[in-house]
Amino acid sequence: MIRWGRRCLTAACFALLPLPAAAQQPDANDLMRGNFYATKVSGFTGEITMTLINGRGEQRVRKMSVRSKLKANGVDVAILTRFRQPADIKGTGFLQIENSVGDDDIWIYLPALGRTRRLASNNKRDSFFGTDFSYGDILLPTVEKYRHALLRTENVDGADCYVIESTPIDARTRDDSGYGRKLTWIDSRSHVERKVAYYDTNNAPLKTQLVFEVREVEPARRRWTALRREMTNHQTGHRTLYLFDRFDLDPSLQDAWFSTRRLEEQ
Amino acid sequence: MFRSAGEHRAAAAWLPVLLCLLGPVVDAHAQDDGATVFSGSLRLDYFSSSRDLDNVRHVMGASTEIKLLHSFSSDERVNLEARLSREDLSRDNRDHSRLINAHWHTRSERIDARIGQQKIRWGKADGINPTDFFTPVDNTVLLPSESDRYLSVPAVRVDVQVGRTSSLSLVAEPDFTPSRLPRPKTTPVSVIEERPSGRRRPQTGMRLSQAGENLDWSLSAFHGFSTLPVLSFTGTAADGSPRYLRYYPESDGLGADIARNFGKWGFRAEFAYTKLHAENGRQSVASNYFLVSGFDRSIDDWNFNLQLLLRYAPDYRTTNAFENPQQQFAAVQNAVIYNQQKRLTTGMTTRVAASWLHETLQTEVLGIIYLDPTNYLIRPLITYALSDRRKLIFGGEYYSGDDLSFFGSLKRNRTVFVEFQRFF
Repeated sequence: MIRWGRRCLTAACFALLPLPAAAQQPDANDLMRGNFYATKVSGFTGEITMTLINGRGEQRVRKMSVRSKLKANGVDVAILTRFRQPADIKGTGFLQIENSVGDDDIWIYLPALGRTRRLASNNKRDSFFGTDFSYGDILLPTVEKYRHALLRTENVDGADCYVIESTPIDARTRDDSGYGRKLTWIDSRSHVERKVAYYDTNNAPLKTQLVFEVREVEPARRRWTALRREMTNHQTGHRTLYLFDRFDLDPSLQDAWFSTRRLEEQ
Repeated sequence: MFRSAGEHRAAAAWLPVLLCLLGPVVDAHAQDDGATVFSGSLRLDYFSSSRDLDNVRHVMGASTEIKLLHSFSSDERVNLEARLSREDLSRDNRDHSRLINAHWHTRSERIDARIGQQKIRWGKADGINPTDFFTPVDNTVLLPSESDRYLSVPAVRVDVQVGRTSSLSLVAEPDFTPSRLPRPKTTPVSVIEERPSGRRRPQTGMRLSQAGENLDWSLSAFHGFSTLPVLSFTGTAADGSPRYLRYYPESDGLGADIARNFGKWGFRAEFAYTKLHAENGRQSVASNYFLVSGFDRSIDDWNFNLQLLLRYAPDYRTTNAFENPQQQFAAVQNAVIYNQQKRLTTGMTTRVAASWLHETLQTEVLGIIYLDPTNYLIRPLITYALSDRRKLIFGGEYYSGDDLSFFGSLKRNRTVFVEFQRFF
């Protein structure tokens, strides 16, 4: 309960105060906190295309509608994903309600079976619907699960960035994420990551994520969204493009929209 | 669903060719303009055996599924889904048309109403769901997916949100749809089938459920008819041959289920008490308590699922208790169909699934075993996505056990199958 209260307070602080100025000697933890909250928009609906490209250049396309709402604690989100493509899983729904102090609630609705089923909590390292993104890449883990160190500053695509090295705080976090460490290039203006390099548990380069088209979508709360991301797995040669075809801020989404009742609507 | 006989062999021979040629055309008409979503699939199948216990081998079939979802507004829509099949291209009497869904759905802030043909699935367990009182199963359909077996029913369903995470579902089914079971075509006895008149006595049910905060549970109640038939000896004809009645007994059911996660482990349990009523001195089967309970766990791209099955029929009568041989014959058939060989039936299911190559290749093996007498089903399945629109499915079903056991009686249906699916 105390932990939850602290998170709420932190979230409120980041919602109300300006993010740390870039020119000062910022603390790595503060930067990562800024990164964690920078994309926590209060609610949105959108359409996403994920393109999977294998080493031979063959493409598979997944399209989905997404609806998301930030919970009252300012940390966790509820997200409802509905597949539009490919045709064999069209209508399949996926509802995840994050719980940073416990296990997430996750359900899947399979229209062919006409049934909603609760899923066991996933590992953060598990692939997000077969893409190169893991669940932990999509819904970022809390800052406290890693040790952070500011290495240097660098320019990425014209944006001044802090380069932060993050290592898991314990073996459980390492095994859950599948990462031995990661380097994050954080935009000094928006605090959104512009690039992330992931290393496996043997410290070999595993994946690189590049982030494009970062937009300030909720100026009153200084919240941003990246409309395009690209994740490349260096060990398999496979990559995934993640593109918002549509993004609409919608702070008015009700909790009732994130229920198994709504999940069963195609 | 209906079956029609006809001289369609010549046309049927062209059906697969036609379906393949139609692919690009139907792609052009597949539509998703927000208000109307039109989609479907074309399917070509080969099964090494039919599922009808009729010794028919090497069955090639073709079918098409069409799905139309139209939204009149954000709160009102219709859902139409149908399948047309020629189950065996080389033989007659194998045409099917089936409504998978055909219902109107409207919603308000707290109420959802669905009226029309729909699937009503209540169970949370994997594959075996004792609380699926409203769900008939087609055990003869020559399509590989488990979802193809569950039949929809004409019903009115109203879901009322009664709390933040709980809802009450009320269902009325004004007709009766039986399960389809494999039956030898040359039945050695004459049987009259009697189906209940749902219009005279609609089936009804209610379910209170909660989903959220790491705990899902439900309580359900049902009044209607068993979707499985009971065979009853009714007497001897003038020529001395025995006469039997196949009827669907009135049934009352109470159910409960729960799903909860313990860390990375998912726990599920589903329980039902089903009371079957015997009418007018007819033969019946015993009322029973049925529990399905188990865990599943995902590790990387693998999922492991294990469930225990426990069914207890306190009033069970051994088939030997019937002195009349005709009654005993019927009791044996009923024991096989209802899998009621003992007062206590135990068993387990296991499903191991894995995905590979970014979910391009998916594999699974399902096993269901009942003990004493031992009989089992093993069902491997491999699905390979050739592209986003084309899929190949390979699999098989291996039944084993005593001839008068649940799975043993299906040994003639052992099969391997291949399906090509083309989506549009």
